[in-house]
Amino acid sequence: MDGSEINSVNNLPSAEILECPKCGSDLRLTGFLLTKNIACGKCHSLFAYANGNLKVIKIFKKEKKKHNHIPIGTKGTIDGRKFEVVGFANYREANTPYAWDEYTLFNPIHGFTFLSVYEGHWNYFEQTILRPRPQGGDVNLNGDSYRIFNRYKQKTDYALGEFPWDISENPSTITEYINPPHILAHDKDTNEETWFLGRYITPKEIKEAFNLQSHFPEQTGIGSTQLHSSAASLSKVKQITLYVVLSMLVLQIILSISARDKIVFKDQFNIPGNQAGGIVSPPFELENTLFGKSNLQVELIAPVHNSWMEADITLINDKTGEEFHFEQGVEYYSGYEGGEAWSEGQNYTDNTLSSIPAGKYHLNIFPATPPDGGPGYFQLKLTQDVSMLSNFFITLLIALIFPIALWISISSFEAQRWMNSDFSPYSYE
Amino acid sequence: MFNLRNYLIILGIILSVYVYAALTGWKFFGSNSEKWSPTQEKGHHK
Repeated sequence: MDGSEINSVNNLPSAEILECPKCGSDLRLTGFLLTKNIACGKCHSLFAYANGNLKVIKIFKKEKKKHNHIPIGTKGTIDGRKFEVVGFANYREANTPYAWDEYTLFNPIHGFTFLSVYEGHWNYFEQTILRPRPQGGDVNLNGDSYRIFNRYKQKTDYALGEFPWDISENPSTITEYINPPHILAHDKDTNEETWFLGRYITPKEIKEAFNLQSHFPEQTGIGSTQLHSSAASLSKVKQITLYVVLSMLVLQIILSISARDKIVFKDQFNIPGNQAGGIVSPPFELENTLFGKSNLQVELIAPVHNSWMEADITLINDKTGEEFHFEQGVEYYSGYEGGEAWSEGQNYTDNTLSSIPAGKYHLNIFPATPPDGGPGYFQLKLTQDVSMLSNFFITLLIALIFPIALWISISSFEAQRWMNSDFSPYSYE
Repeated sequence: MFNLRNYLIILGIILSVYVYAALTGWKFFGSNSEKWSPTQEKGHHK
């Protein structure tokens, strides 16, 4: 047999039918010489198979049997290879309640492979001759690091069909290492050690592979090898985020350098004794720009000390009559209390007006000071087209919202994954 | 599920708005001027 005849599901070799020595029912033999154990689904006996002989080695309790969602004898294709489901076993981590099911698949060319399901999450395993390199407590296979996830002894609760080794007694220790969606399982006993390489496989993929319509177990929690739905995009998102941050930095530098920073008005005004009196500034010009608008920074300086000054200011376009009204004030207080000097406020404030059209303007200013005195004068400085760092930080924050949310989501996903591990790098308080 | 193409489109829009704001002097937040023009209803502003 060179494998060329295994070119369709229907061409898998037919099983030989044996008679159960205990109950007389039919036992399928598909793996022939490779089969070591056969379990009868009717009398629940497990037989050692060798040289055509069946020898009973264990009888399972039938109440331990769980439903097999893929019937024995079902044929299907995984990774382009034809397989037949030949065995089904319910395993348990010794001395714990953690239990999982495993389907044994057989192909006469590729041998036995396995579908394992725990809490609705499936992994597809193949035996590998590759030997991973130890890396601390972890292992490395072909340059990929696999982190230790679990170590346990396996116990068989129930079995049905055929198996390539003795499943009645399993003194070996199994260690699982993960690099999602891949997994390495190391099975070691006193005489030999075997490595299995597995990968996460979705229920949909299995149903399609075996053409099944049946209902599979509900998924709970995060599978040991399950990938976050956006995990594949994470490296691209990291790269894009880096480019965006760098582009924004370069843009901000260019915009800061190219900002005109043109002082269009600077004057000092005496505050009228009559508080109701207003001040009309001399006219000034805001130059035209590419889009006809620019920002305008208003700086107010007043020599306040333990006092305040506030100005109600209106910027008026002399041609259109358009007005921009705002209030701006300064306050400064200081003293000495409890042996310590203190101060709060300052005698300077600035305010940036947004999108002011070019044109000729003047200011109407109504200053206000405390009744018991205040500064006698104040200064106003208006600068057209200043660099706006606040816009840079707001844009940066918005651009980073998604990458940060994605990072939080993946971190939380990873923390949940490792909750099932005795080797979790996370601490769960 | 995350869509890289949509993410790139959104980033493009965000960066375009940022450049447009810089060129028009549009300050996203913090500008406290109140605008009034003669075409608005009279009496809105003192």
